[in-house]
Amino acid sequence: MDTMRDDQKEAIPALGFYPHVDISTGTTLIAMEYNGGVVVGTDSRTSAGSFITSRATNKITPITDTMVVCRSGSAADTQCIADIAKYHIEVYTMLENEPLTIYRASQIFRQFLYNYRDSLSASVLVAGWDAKEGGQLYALPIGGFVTRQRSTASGSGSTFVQGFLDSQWRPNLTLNECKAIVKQAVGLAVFRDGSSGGVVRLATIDANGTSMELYRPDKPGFPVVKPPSAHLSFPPHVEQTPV
Amino acid sequence: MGHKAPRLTSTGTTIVAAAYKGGLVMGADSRATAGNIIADKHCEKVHKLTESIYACGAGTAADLDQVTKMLSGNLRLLELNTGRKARVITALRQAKQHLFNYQGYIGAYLLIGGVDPTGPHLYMCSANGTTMAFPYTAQGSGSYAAITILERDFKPDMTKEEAESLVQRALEAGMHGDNASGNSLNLVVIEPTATVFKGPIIPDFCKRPEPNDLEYKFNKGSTKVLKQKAYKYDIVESMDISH
Repeated sequence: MDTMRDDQKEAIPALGFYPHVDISTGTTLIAMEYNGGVVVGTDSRTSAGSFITSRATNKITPITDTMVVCRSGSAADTQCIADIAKYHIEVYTMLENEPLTIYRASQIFRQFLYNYRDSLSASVLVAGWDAKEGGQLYALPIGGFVTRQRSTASGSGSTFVQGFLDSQWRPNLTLNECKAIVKQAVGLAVFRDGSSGGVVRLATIDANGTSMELYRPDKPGFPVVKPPSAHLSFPPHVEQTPV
Repeated sequence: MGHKAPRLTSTGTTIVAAAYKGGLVMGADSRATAGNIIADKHCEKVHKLTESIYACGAGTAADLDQVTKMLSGNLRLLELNTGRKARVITALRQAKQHLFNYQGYIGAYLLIGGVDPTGPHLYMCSANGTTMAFPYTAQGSGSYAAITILERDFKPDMTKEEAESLVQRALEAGMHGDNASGNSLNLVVIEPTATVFKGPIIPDFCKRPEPNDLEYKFNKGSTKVLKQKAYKYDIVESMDISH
């Protein structure tokens, strides 16, 4: 997850502006609908250049009891949009005296992402549950385009697991099957993507609300990825068996 | 004709903060730099926002002074209007929304921390409006060295003495390893009942190895006497020139 926009990485000597640090991208967001709800999983790394600013970030931001938004891109931009969109959603909820559908919430996010597309570098996943349509997942990439998806991956780690997700999704998944797939996908992405890492955070959103889970690499439950073995032409000591 | 406008910055800085059982310790070095010149050796980087909320700043010195002045003013007005103590999260919200509005052009990187009726809190707020919550963290160019000490020695629920010593050691590591940090350090210990400010503390390695004004007199006998000649005078008149 970025903490600075692209155009701010350049120094402007005339203004005396020098970027504090050079900052690069990196996030893994995975989400998947199942029978009765939606599961989202993320890594927890926020980096500034090669430095990890935070290794236990929470990229899953609650909007209501039954809706979360997963943020990727500039941390400042996505935090701001989440705050403003949350405010708008709360106002609509009070005016209409009933919770907003996830679709309408995704359209509120879309308005900001589209209207400010030139000044923002933000992309989000809106995931939640409503009485009308059950568990839903909307992907909003950088320009403000909205699509409902059954499963999706976003962020720099997503490229490594797109195929895995395609191969795993099927109709009528149970909660536990879905959680296992999402967790494994985050594990695979984090294994290959240098800018993703830390812990795995899972959130399950269904009729009863949102429940968050945390998986640490030093505790049981963290997704296991078998490292590919070294080529036979390497001497035997290259193969390091983990202790 | 590209003359760079000189801008006094304290970009070179070490600021550290850590929470402990029931309180918070924050600290900063005291060196302000403009390029490779030490512009101020006794600069105050620990800013008071309210009686129990403080902010340590890295980045542009002028911006930090202005932003913290604005925050302390607004928070005091809030306390007077509501008759309640301001919360740390309020200070953070005001800071991030102000800094986000200016899209990173206000070069203020803050650690905002304090104790309010909801407990001790520590947040980091970056110039572009990113915020994060931490149990311990460091900012500024000396933060890399400081973080190593924090990562190695931090444990949850420390005593006040342990936390104070940890922050001081982290600051000293930053001041030792970073040329842009040094001179002396200031600490503030915030607890629900009292706030104690300590400093300036001058670590041993920041003291000059010898006194500033040296004795430039030569010892007797340093110069070989080649010849001597004595003139005899009669004292006709004398004058006191001792002062």
